[in-house]
Amino acid sequence: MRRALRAEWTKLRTVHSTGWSLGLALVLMVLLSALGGAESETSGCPASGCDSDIVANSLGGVYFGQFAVIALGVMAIGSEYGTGLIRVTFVAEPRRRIVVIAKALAVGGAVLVVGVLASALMFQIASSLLAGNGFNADIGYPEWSLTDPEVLRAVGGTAVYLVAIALLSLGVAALLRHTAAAISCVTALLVVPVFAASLLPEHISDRVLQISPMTAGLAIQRTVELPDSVPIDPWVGLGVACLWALAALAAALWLVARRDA
Amino acid sequence: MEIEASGLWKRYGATLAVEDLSFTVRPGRVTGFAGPNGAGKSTTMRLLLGLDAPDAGDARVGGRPYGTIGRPLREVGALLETAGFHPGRRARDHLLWLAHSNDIDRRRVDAVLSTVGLERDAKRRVGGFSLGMRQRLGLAAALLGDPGVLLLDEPVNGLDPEGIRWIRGFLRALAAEGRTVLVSSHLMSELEGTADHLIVIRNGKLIADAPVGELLATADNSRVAVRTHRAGPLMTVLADAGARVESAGDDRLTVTGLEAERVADLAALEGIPLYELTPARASLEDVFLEMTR
Repeated sequence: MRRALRAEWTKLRTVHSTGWSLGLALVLMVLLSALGGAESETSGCPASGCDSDIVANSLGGVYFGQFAVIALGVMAIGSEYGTGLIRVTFVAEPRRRIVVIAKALAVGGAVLVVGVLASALMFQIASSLLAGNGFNADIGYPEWSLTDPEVLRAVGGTAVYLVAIALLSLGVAALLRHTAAAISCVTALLVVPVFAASLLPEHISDRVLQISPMTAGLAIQRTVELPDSVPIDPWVGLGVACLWALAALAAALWLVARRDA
Repeated sequence: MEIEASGLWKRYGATLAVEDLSFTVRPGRVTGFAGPNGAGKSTTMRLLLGLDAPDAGDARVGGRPYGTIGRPLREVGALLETAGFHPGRRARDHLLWLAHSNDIDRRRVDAVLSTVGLERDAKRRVGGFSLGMRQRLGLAAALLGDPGVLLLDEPVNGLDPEGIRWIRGFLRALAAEGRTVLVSSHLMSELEGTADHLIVIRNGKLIADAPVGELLATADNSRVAVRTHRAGPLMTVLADAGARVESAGDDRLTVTGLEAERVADLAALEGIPLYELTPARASLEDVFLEMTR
């Protein structure tokens, strides 16, 4: 395992696409969250109470940054199938499950580090911009700080969500053995339920949102209950996203040793 | 260490790629693995390396299935048919991850790069490599763990004439050190002068497994190339004497079944001047074409 991990980590750090996709993920998340924070205006709090989720809104960049993370997870194994490198890999380490697990650890570790950094930056920058735009204690909004338990849960949870998406992508790519197909598949898995839910009657759409990786997983960012919130506990939601990742990886582990390379 | 295939069968969909194939590759000599394109050579290599699972039979390297070897690159070096590089990775980094995967000292990376003549391209990305350079890098990867067994699928592909000469000498040297060397090729001429022993397959089946000398001896050796301006009359004379004569363009004939001396005597008797008379020894290529016909 140590040898495989070292090999996979070396592979990951010696191609441009890793730096590009992680950098892009970071920039997209921070930039778009900041943009969202800078562009939001408050019309004051209605009588029912302040209804903007400052924490979740400041972490909104994840909706964009996650696509760069999908690319990273998919490329980690998809590019090997595309170039025939996978055979060289399996000749060097015939225990194929070890290879997939090592890839998951390398990709997951890299995404976790970038995810924590990006989430913390998103929150700090966007929440201070929002406060400057009037979303502050003057009209009754709570003043959140990075060390508040709810904020830690949202920021840390966002990083974990990104890891889950990366591993889901890795697993799907290992199953499909094709980069473009895997990227399309994972993207559809995240986005299609959102559109589908908007067309379906409420009792079905709630269920769809509860079991879909993105809508369930990002419930971890919620600090205010709103009428359009996905009806799922934040931790359970994150668990759903992680289950998707584990299921994809488990399927990949099951199949990779049974197929001709 | 030996490479052993026993009773290997492999089917892909409707295609039977390998059919009841058995052979043993012994150390200390270069064994050529020959057959036309599509004969099943690459499939066999993949079965030996545990990349594809046989439908029946077993493949062993050094007495064990490949997949059970702990640090396989230290015992077996392989060059696969398809290159297998990430185009964005530097040549040196490709070898570095391979070294890490098998606990191979990283000094071996530079050592094998200079063995294959790529030391100055070590920091270039593989995407910019020519076919020949990729082939050299693939060889460097095969040699990385200083293995006692080498399985090389079409190693000559893409090499320039200088590279081809180099690899021939190199393979012979590896075998002389007592290593087991299996080299596939679809061109016999590439194996002539390199291989000591030949395994020939066609349509997934074994058709020969013998020393090169023995295979050459089975060939019809009496072929004579003749040039004369009176090709027509000479053809008649030689045919009457029992030879098979084919026109090889303009004033050239290829004669089978008669010694060069007999051809010269018969021509002299009829007063036909010969401008050229060349006895040609059968090449492996001829033997191969005969066998795989």
